[in-house]
Order: sequence, then C-alpha cells, then structure tokens
Amino acid sequence: MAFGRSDMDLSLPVTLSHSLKHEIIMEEQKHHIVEYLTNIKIWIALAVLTILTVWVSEFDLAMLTVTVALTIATVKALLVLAYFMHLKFDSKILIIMVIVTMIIFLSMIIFTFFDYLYRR
Amino acid sequence: MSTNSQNTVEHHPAVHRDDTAKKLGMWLFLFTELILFGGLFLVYAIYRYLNPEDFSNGSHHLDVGIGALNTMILITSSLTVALSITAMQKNKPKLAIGLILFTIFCALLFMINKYFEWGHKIHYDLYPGTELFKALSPGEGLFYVLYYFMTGLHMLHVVVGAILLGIMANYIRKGMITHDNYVLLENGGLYWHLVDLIWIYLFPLLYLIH
Repeated sequence: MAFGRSDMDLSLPVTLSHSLKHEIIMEEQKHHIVEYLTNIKIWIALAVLTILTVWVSEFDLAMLTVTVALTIATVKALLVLAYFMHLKFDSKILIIMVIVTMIIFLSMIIFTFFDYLYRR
Repeated sequence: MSTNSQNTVEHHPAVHRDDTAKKLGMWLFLFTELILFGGLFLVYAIYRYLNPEDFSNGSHHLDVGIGALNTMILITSSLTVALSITAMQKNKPKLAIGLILFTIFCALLFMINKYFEWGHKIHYDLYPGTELFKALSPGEGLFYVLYYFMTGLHMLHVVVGAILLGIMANYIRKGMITHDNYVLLENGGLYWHLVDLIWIYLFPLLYLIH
C-alpha cells in the first residue's frame, strides 16, 4: 500500500509533464534572436550615457545631482535588462517578477527613510 | 502500480527540457543578489543622508577616470556576452567562444584597474586600522569602509562571473551547449549582466555624486 502510494506520487509529474510537453516544446522553438547590430546599438547608447553622466557630474547641480545621476543609471539599467538580459523578448512572468522585486527593494528604502526623516 | 509508472516513462523516452523554468530559477537567484546589494545601497543612502559633507569629501578623493574606464570595460564585456549568445543561436560556436574569451579578458582588465586603484589607497595607508584612517572624521571613515566593502563584494562577483563564463566556453567546446540548447550560456550571461548592472549604480553613487 505504502509502495503504491509513493509510486503514484512519482508517476503524476511524469504524466503531467507529458501532457504539457508538446506545448512547451512549441514554446521553446520560438526563441527570439537579438541581432548583432541591435546589441551593438545598445552598447553605443550605454557608452554615450556613461560619458553623459561623467560630464554632467562636473557641474554643480546642487539638489539635482543625485536625481540626475540615478536617472541616467536607471536608463542604463533598463537598457541592459530589456536587451542584454532579453527581458523584452522572454516570458512576461520574468518582467512581473523583476517589478515585484523592485517594489520590495524600493519599499525597503522608502520605509527606512520615513524612519530617519521623522526622527526628533 | 510500479510497472504502470515505468511504462509511462518508457513511452516517452525523450528527455524533457524546460528552458523557461531554468531561466526563472536563475532569475530567482539574481533577485537574492539584488537584495544583497540593495541592503548595502540602503546603508549607503542612510549614512550619506546623515553625513552629507563627509561623504562628499570621500567621493572627491576617488579617481573618476579609473571608475569611468572600468564602467566602459564592463559595458563592453556585457556586449560581448550578449553577442556570444546571438552567435550561439546562429550556430557559430567558435565565434561564441572567442567572444566569451574576450569577456574574460575584460574581467581581467577590470581587476587590474581595481588592483591599482586599491593599491594606490593602501600605499597611502588609507584603509581601516591605520593611524591616518583613525584621524578621519567618522563619516569619511564610513564612506571608505562602504567603498571597500561594496567594490570588494562586486569584485568577488566579477571573479565568479569570469569563472562561470570560462566553464560555459568549455561547455561550448565540448558540444554540451549547442545552437538549439544554449540556456546554460544564457544563464551564465545573465549573471555577468547582473555584475554590470550593479556597477552601473555603484559608479555614480561612489565616484560621481559629490
């Protein structure tokens, strides 16, 4: 009896994966290829943004310094995520997961700052 | 019961592959890495808020030139990893291996730069524990501790990423990564891009915001 049960547990995923297999293989075949040229264009954009962020840091922007530096960094990060890391072409679930992680990270920062800003 | 389940297996001898799940697993790991560095970014942000002038003084002493050069090196290495995946998809394994080896070369360049950057500071006794370091204001001390820890932890990731990419190049050579099964290379590439991604934020935070 106990043997029978453990066998059932084993056979279930095999059967399940079989029923899904056809569908998954179909999905795996439509891999998107990011062309060489697209990658090189993204690299040029990243290099230009790096020069821009160094150039801007020479000026005294007072309160805006941090905002400008982090905005440029975020544009660069989005380019890397979308093209180099293929997020734009992969399953949408990955994008949702990245967004959720970002929300967790940002709330970590925002709530800690609430604490520090309203002390005293 | 047991013969039944064996039959199920025998009927479908083809090994099932799930590239989406493999990638999803890699991304889950990358999220833990993001939160690891995220914690350090939070510590940096809070202490910068509490010691604005000391942090500004500290970042003035870092070499923007070396930081910018390392940014360019990492961006270029990220490009060559992305290109190696394209090459693999187009069934050009030799080109893919060449591009990965170039990426590892970039990683070495990055480490050599870091060696000179850290070496210069250590030469002037600017590291925790020295008399010079004790004479710094507490805020500046914090800045340098965070500088050493964050760039050091990032450096460790550069080393691990370079080793991973070396393994991937060897897999391509052995035919274990092919033009229709390259998810391992994609995952190795994702790790390398994460290293680039973290540096994209470390560079302005440590070197540029005065």
